[in-house]
Amino acid sequence: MEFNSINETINKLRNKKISLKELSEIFIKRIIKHKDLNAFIYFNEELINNQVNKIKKLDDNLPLKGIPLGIKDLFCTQNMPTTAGSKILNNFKPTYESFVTKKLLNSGALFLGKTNLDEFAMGSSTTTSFFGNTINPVSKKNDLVPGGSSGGSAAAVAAKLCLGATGTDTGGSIRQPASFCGIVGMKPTYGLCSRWGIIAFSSSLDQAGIFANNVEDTSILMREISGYDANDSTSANVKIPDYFKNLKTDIKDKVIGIPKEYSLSEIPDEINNMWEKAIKIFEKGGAKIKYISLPHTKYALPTYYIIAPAEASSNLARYDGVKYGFRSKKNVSLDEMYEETRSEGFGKEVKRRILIGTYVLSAGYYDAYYLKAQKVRKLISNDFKETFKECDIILTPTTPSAAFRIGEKEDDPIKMYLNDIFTVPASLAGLPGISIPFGHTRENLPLGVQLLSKHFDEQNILNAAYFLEKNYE
Amino acid sequence: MGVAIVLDLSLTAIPIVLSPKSRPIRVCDVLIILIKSLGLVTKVYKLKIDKNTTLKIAKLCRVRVKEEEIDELSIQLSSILDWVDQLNEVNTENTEPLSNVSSSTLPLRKDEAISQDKSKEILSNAPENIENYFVVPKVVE
Repeated sequence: MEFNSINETINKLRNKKISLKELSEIFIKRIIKHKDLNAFIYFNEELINNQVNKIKKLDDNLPLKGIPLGIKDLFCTQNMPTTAGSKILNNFKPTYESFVTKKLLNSGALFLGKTNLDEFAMGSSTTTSFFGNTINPVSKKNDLVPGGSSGGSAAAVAAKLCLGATGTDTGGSIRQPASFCGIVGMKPTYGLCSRWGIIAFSSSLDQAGIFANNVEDTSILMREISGYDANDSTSANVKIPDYFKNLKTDIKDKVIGIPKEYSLSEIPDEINNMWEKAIKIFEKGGAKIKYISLPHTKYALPTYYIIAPAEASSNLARYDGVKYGFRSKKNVSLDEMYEETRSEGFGKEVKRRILIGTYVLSAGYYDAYYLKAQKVRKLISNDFKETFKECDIILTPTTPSAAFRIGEKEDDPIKMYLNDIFTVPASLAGLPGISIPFGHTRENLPLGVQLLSKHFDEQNILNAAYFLEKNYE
Repeated sequence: MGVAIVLDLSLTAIPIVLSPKSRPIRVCDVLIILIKSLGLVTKVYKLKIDKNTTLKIAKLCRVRVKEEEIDELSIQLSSILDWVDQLNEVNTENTEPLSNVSSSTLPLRKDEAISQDKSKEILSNAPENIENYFVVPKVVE
């Protein structure tokens, strides 16, 4: 029996075509077989079996009863350790469950383990994790990155080691790896699901989201993780529709915006051709195509690389070797203990961003960098607001390239940052976005297109994505 | 504050730091003119962040930087800051800074105390603890 989608598996479980135990065993076997991908950094068979026994006793009508999922190791989980891919959180056992994982558990989901990520979600390749890099399952010689930072989750879903997974997206960390691995990845509106229990990287940007193999599954999981929570002051109290029930492929008379600033000469033809193809499919389906302008697009990346490190340097100040995690073994004074712990506990990229963040927030530089970036962020956000007065959806490529080789771009931080060129602008404006697989390169590597909409308009994005998925030729 | 000078031999090669040590700005200017007159290099520029600044920031955020890492870090931090400098092209004179992107009204909750005693679990995460306390290296002689 094939298990490729959540929707179909729910029906198989309800109709007793397979038992919870049998289903979990299939996925345990798959994870063990594909251990070399290093998608999971915490996996414990006994824990899975215990969960299965508990889930068995739950109400049969729970929406995700027995559905095997992967959890990005940035979400605090009470029955599994949480590391953020960092040595500094080694052996950390959260004393509470994150909002998103708690909601999934309450819906009956089965957690297969914790998935790998770039350290503290800082990266676009899942190569900066303390637990080694993850391999993209589409690579023939095990040599391609899955993207990042949620690369473990993306690889796990693409290799069918789980039916869906959670991720977090700060500047593209769900959409970019989804594109690299050939699956669907969605980041909802900032505030749609609580950040409670997600290890903080850049609080004004961090947002939980979903990886799945198709749009239907994505809409099911999105419905399950969204909702208001008093524990997160930026959590929005909005009504969550049943995204799955409301799915439809009708896009007649919808206006699809095509931003000219996303058409760059450095981008390979095959990416622009794929974009062109998606536009044609929308046109054929009865949508109106409108060429639009988002004039401040070019400043999104530099804005992001001031705001994100600034907030990170502040959020990561809590890792001091006193309350949890790793402490340097060196016998030194208190002040030196902080320095040694943070120097040994953090990886290169994390340290680089803490230093940059500290610099741009330091006395005399705050106005020139951080305040300036927040002002440009306002202009970027205004661009989108204006544009959404005249279109419903914005369509762009997800990434400027297909998956690259492990080790590539490692020495040049700016080259690595350019990966997020198409995903960062929407993050800065807090907009929802999805990446869906759309075609391949000549080397047969997956490509993706990105759909964006205005705040809390997830249904519109999912419908447009559903249409594109069904009409891809 | 002094500056360091970096030689960029090509677009792809890692730049060479000519004077990683802090030098007075005027000395650097003379050096740059001298180097440029040799006509061998494509680009000579002053590092935004020299060795001393890197050490100062590192101290501020309590990250110890190893001697052999300082030059590379100074170059990388400087090139990142050079790159973000393009924001100065944007006129933001009448623009308010955006600190919260949320478009919904953020709900307020009642200010009520909730008691949850998790001190045991919380302390069990500490690298070192005695009774109900976190333990740190001695601070008073």
